[in-house]
Amino acid sequence: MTDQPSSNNTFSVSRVAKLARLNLSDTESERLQSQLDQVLKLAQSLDILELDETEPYYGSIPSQTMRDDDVRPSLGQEDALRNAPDQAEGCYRVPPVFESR
Amino acid sequence: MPYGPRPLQLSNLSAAELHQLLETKQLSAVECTQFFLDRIEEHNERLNAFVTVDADQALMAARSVDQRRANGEPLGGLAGIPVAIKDNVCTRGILTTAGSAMLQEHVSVYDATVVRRLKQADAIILGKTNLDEFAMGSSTENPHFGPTRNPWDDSRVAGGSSGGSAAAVAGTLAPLALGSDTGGSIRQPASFCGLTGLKPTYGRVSRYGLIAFASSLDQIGPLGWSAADVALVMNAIAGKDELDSTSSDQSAPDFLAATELPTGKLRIGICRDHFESGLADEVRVQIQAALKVMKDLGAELVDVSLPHTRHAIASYYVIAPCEASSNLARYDGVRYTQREPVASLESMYEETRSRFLGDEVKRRIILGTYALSSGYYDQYYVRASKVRRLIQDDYSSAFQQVDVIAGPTCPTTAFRIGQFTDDPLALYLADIYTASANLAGIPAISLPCGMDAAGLPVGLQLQGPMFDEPRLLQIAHHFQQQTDWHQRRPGP
Repeated sequence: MTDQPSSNNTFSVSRVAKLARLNLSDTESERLQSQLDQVLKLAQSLDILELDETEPYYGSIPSQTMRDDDVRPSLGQEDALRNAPDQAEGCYRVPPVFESR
Repeated sequence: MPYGPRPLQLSNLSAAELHQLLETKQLSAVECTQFFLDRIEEHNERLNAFVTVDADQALMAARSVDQRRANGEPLGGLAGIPVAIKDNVCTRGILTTAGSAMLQEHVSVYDATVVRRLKQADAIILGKTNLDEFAMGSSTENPHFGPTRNPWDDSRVAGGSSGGSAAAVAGTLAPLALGSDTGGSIRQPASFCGLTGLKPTYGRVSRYGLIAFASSLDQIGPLGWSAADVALVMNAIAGKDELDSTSSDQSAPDFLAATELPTGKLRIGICRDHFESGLADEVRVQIQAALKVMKDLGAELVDVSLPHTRHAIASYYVIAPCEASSNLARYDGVRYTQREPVASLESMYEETRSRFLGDEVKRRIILGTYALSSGYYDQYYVRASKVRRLIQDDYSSAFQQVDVIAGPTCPTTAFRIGQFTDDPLALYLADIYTASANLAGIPAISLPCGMDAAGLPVGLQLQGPMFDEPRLLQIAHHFQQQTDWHQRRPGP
């Protein structure tokens, strides 16, 4: 499934920041927008290349091994929770998905 | 800063030389460790190389080594030698911050595999070094912990992102250090600080316990004064790790033994493109002098072409931010110490991330998120990955004609602190000689080969085929037998 490139690269820092769960102030947004527009131009320098016949390379190495699906010692709940900002009953505790009214 | 002749005092010794003194009991592990702890006490406030120093644990480990040596017990290959660890590598029970406010209180609950292996080799862990936040950057001007200063000129950067590790060794606060390299983060600081630094082949050294930046590009590697130093560390840390599924089955050789072997008739590839504009004249002069030394040692210089490496920066600054945006999604206030106290889950994610992540990290997350998003994934991420394939193919072709490729590590020597604060793109472009090795997965080493008129070190980079670190170390070692750049030290 290929997706079609959007016609006018409308790269909006504030919209993408929302996707990345980042809150930016207006000043921050403006500053990042101008800096990232430049970096995006750099990325777009690859547009001129003829790449239809090329397979992408994602950095995988030839010898990837699978291991047997057996239980081995792992971190343990106590250690896993050691850096938790808040915990209860052996779980990370977080605010509710929706704010209570 | 002036450099001078080498009186026999510990600051002037390489790790390999310290190892000799320790083995022959002319120096105890405690004396050695105390020497470096005193140096840290005296100079770290100015240099800001270390974020955390664990003197008690270090001395305890040193005492144990001395005791076992006195009892005639067998010891590991790095016994009694102090090592500084970049703070994106997990060390159990010791603060591991990745240079970020997000992890400023995070104490690791496990040791990275490389740390475990260093301990098995009886190395003495001194503490954790400063870095660019989450290893994203080329200057170690850390927004939370402050800039690390170059021991050769403390108005200048030590480089990045392994700047703290480089400054620790160059400032003689530690004889050895571990860094990590995603686009040049071991090699560029090594170049700026007059050290030998190796980025191993992807998969050569375990990434288990390395706080991930870009999982297909990251590698942990050593920094030291000499090729022998680097080889000593590689012997301890390299090799397959069950806990890292990207670590290679390729068995690790004795890197130190390999450095001593004769190189035979060498064909060194020179890529003319890399000597064009953008390269500082003073750097060009030193590199050409180094190549002449190689020629005098019997190497043949051969012109090679790496036509797609001109696109390496564009490719890298799509792929690395993409992978980073994914890897840093986990820093959301749920698990890792810092959390902004707000009423709803989504606000918690946003407020925590916005407050505790620095500007450069935000830049890369936003860029990566965009390049992976629906409608843009093929246009940016896939295209960049295709260019990555072409770069890898360029190297494969070149290595049919030559054994290694030589050139400058960086276009310039160390720049001034604050010079690029408002121009992140200019800093990105300076990765021009280093990022392609990460994209291709091949090993690359930087070794000191000269100084500019201001007395700032210049680094020569050698790149080789996959798993050919022994050859790179060999060539570096032979170069270092004929030259003394690796023996220069900055002032006090």
